[in-house]
Amino acid sequence: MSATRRQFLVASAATSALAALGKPTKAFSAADGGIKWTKGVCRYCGVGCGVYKGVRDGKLVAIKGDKENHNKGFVCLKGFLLPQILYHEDRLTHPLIKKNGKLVKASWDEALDLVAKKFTESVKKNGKDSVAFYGSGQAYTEESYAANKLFKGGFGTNNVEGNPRLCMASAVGGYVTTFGKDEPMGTYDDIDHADVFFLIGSNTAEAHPILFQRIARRKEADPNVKIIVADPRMTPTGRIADIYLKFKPNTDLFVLNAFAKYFVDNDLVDKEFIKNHVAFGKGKAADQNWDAYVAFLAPYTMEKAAEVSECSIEDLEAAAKLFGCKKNRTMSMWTMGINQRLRGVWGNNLIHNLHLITGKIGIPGSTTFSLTGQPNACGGVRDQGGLCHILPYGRLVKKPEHRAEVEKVWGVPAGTISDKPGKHALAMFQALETKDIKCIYIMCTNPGQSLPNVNRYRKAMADPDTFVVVADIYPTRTTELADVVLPAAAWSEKEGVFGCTERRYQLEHQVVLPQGEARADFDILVDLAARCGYGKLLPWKSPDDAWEELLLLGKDTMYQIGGITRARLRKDHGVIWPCPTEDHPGTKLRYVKGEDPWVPKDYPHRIMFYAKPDNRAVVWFRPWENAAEMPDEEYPFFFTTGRVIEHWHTATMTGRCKELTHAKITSEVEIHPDDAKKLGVRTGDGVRVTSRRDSLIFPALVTDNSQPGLVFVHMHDAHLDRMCNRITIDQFDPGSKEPTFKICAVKLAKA
Amino acid sequence: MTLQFESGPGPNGGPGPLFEDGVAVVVGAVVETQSGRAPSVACRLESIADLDVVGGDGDRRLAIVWCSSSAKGLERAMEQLVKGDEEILGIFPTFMGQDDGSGPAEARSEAMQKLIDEG
Repeated sequence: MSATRRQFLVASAATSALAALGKPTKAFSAADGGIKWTKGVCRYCGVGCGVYKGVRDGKLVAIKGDKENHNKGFVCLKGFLLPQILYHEDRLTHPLIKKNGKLVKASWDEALDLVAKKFTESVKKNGKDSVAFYGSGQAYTEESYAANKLFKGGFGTNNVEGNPRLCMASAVGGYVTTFGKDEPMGTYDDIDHADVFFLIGSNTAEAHPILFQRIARRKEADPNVKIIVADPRMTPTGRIADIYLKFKPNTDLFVLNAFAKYFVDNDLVDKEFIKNHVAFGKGKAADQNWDAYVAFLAPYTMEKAAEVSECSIEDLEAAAKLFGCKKNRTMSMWTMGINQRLRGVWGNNLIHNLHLITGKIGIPGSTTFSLTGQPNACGGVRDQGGLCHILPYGRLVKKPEHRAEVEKVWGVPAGTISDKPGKHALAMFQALETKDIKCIYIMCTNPGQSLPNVNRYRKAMADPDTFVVVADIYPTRTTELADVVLPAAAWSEKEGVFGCTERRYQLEHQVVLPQGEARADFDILVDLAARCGYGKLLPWKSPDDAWEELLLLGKDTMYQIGGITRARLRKDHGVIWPCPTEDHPGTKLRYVKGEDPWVPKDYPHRIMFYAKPDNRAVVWFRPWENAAEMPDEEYPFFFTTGRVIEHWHTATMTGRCKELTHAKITSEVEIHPDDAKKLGVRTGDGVRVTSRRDSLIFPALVTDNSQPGLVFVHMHDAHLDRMCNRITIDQFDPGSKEPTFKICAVKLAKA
Repeated sequence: MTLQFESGPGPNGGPGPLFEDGVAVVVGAVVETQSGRAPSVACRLESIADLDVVGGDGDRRLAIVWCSSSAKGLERAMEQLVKGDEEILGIFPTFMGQDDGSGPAEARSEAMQKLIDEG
């Protein structure tokens, strides 16, 4: 057993248990002597935990949880170790320009003049759509907005994308198609009221540990609370389940439809709710009815679900019964296991269906709640409109009236914003491959490691005929492919807004100076805009100015962020939209009368799905289908990827934190003992994993966490020989365009 | 709260290793005791191998960390503790981790190390 990982886990366990008692841990409760504490938000996942950042002698030295925020003072161990991410010895501290194949030190003027020249020349010579921006759910909202405005309103291209396309696009697709607008209707507070938790495709314990703690606390408060976990792998999350459904990969959509049929057959549906609030749809049209839905569900029997999923019928029925029982308040949570799939949007629709037909929605504890992986994918990219087909606050590129509204606020001539959606993430990098896109600006993300089938796109980025700019805080698998590298200021070295999973916007304060010559992404983009001739478009002196503009754009939309002023954000511990005025408390139950300011006070029902023209959410008929690449004779194993508790994303930050890398960093391939026996493999042996894209050797980890026919590799290892995305497939959901990271086919051999 | 672990019977019908190669679990938990009994329960818990009491409220709650090379074994031990000690009302996990034996180079097998050395 690894002593270092054990130590990390023990420290994490102690931290969480003590935090549950409201006690600080000695190891992390820095003495307050000489430390100035400033309110902030954790840099990592989408939970958006409030923290206090401790600075001494101009250096960030400590983190503690914010008891007045939703996390009630709890922070995971990664969060406690955040100060280290600023100070690793290889921070990028000055611009770099590639000369004769090598990145060499340059001045800011030299670097930004080169970027401006390349981008403006390309637009002139090759057209507006020859340039692109690829951003991140980790940049502050003002930063993503600056890029969005520069590219859509300046260069005139909608080639604006971000890494949320890789993780949350299917959730967006699910919310928009079912409810009419993006983002969940509930909040974390629902956890404290739920009787039943349905966690599917989510390793909450490792990916969102503070929410996992909150679920555990809810169970502690009421032992009658039940937890259902559905996942092809037994993860730490599964270990607190009352019912654990270890379904065969890709059979979850069948199981979800079988749950719906069980509700119908066992009188667990809420007919009154359906009559007042639900429409039925197939394909893209909401033109079906209840009878057609019942007919659609006919093949999805529990018997068949048990056969297909290889779960026991008793467990399936018990889970469905718990979920659907009329007296239970049920909260569903999911993440990449559902989203990163060929039919990710459909998976989302099917979860929403379960809540709509049972009426378990819009009541505290009854909600459908997608978990997010990044701190600002929701606020900064989804809400702010930082994708190729959208504009700020629910507006669409395709709608003339939406473009006109944005053009008016931006003060640009009518017709400036193109009516043509730009290229989505994978299409963007494929266009780099075909040279349709010649210049790309990549900010705060690492596609050289995180894209599926990554060899293909690494080659495109490395091509000398493409011009790649990367702004980041450390060297990454993407900076090594860049023509220009811009040293960015890190979290805590700059100010901006994060919007987390529960629609909560929070201000992140600057508490220390950037390292070396590093500059905030916001400043870099404003400077670049001026050098490209768009100085008037980005005239801001600080992110405060950009935020004022965003409030204007969001004010009269269904997001209603007008009350989330900068002054309020400085003072409060986060504000949840819709929030139309500065004295509004924020909205915990969206679409609910008496809570959501959009619902008229005299509306005759408790809930109003006002983002749909007929105020009805849609129950979609979504069948079960095969994955993009299923195991076959040649490639007989399912290959899946995911997270471990120590690391985050491509480990550009956690990989520079010594406790975390000592605990774990190497990707192993998890193999079930039955398969390991057939291969003659023991833990620690090398296993060659081969897909149709590439072949890599990983150390084996033999464990019945996995199931026969399935292997798992964690996604964080940046070693070129173990980057799991050399194996994954670059197929994507046809609706959301989100890649299907979670399933492809491989073969195995003892190395 | 009953922890649900996969079955993994050992050679003598007792709790055996869940994972073929000794993957261990580390659990952080709150132990709920009868009012005022936390200190005496803490004394008894300290005698259990691989269990550390890391804090308490001095009244009815204790924070513990418990490690085990067998998840199933740990589950049974927790159940026995709750059944066998009337002052303990429940054990509520706040953290679950699996120590899978990965990590530093010394944990690798000779075969894998050879592959790495050979590049």
